[in-house]
Amino acid sequence: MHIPDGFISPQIYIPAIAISASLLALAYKKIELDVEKIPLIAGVSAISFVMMLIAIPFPGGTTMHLGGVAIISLLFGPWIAFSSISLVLLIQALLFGEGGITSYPINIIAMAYIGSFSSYWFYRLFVTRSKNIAIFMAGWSSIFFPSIIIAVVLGVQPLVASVDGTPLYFPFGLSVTLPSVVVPHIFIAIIEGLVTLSSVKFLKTQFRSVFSE
Amino acid sequence: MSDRVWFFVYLLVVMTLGFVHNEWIMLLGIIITIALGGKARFKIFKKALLVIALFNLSISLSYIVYGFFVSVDIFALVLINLRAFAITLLTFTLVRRINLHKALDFSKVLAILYGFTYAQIILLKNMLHSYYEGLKSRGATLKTSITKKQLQPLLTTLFGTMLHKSSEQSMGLRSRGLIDD
Repeated sequence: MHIPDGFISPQIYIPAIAISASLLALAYKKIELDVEKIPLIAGVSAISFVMMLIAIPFPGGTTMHLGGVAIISLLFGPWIAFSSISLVLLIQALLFGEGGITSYPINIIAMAYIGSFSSYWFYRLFVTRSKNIAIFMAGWSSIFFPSIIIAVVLGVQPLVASVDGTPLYFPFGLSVTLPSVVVPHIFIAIIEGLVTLSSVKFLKTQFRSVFSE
Repeated sequence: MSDRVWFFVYLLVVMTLGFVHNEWIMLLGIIITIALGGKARFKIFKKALLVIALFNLSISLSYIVYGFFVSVDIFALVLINLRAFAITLLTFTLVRRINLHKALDFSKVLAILYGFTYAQIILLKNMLHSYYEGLKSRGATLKTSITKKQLQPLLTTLFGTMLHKSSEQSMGLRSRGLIDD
């Protein structure tokens, strides 16, 4: 889902830098970083990074990887999840070239912020009906909603940055990006939902003293 | 120049490249970046090429196919690919030439978070690698299938190690008075 460098116009990434910087400042203020939280965020970020390395075979010969956004959001809260995933995305962009530097603010708004908060709110929305459905929906939403943001941001590039109809950045419009990005992610989101359900239930049982409600 | 200054110069250049719409300037930028790469320039070049190939190739091929139905400017495609390559190459060259931990030192918290996270990533990555190797030696592999039975002990180990390391590092930070409590 990571957008690489070169596809996003300054008309989009410059306002996105302002939004993401404000969100990060707010996150660090909300979390109130102290000696307990700093190693915890670093550890959770490392877990998320490693979870992204665990690939699950997907029909069609490809693989999908776990994101762990919903797992972290449900276990540690959405602000810690947002800070952790932002840190993971920074390390991925700088050291591994996964996701770009110019697209970094959009990647963190979509995957880290929307992913963490949609999972948190979906859990709150469904938890009164069924806890299992709530955890599944949290995992599902952490992939589905960011994919819509990514598709829209990519799809508006020809509209905001073209010269005489020739695109200067990502060349395809919304009619192409929405179905090609969002439709596969509906299915990937189902798998993420199932993995989130299995992982959260298992970790809450295994680390009962840490995650006691 | 200090690592921090280099990092800000890099961010400025990357932002500026976003406004450049000339293939020749972009090409010149790539040549200068290769020159800055030192002895590792070909290694960095190869890594950048591999990283952008997967995503850009699919977009480029789709755009070429799209060109059979609608009139498209192929130079636009060249520009998009050159820009993506130039920025990726610049990022890898920077990371190779500077100490990222020192560059991020303008924010004490960010530098500490980066340092801890990177250290934990290496630790957990090695642990995951050992787990893969262990599975392989027993004739199973995560690459072909991952089952609940395989995922659960892995998650226990990863989370257990992370929680243990976090509390150990908290104690270390507190005892050294590095962060105000």
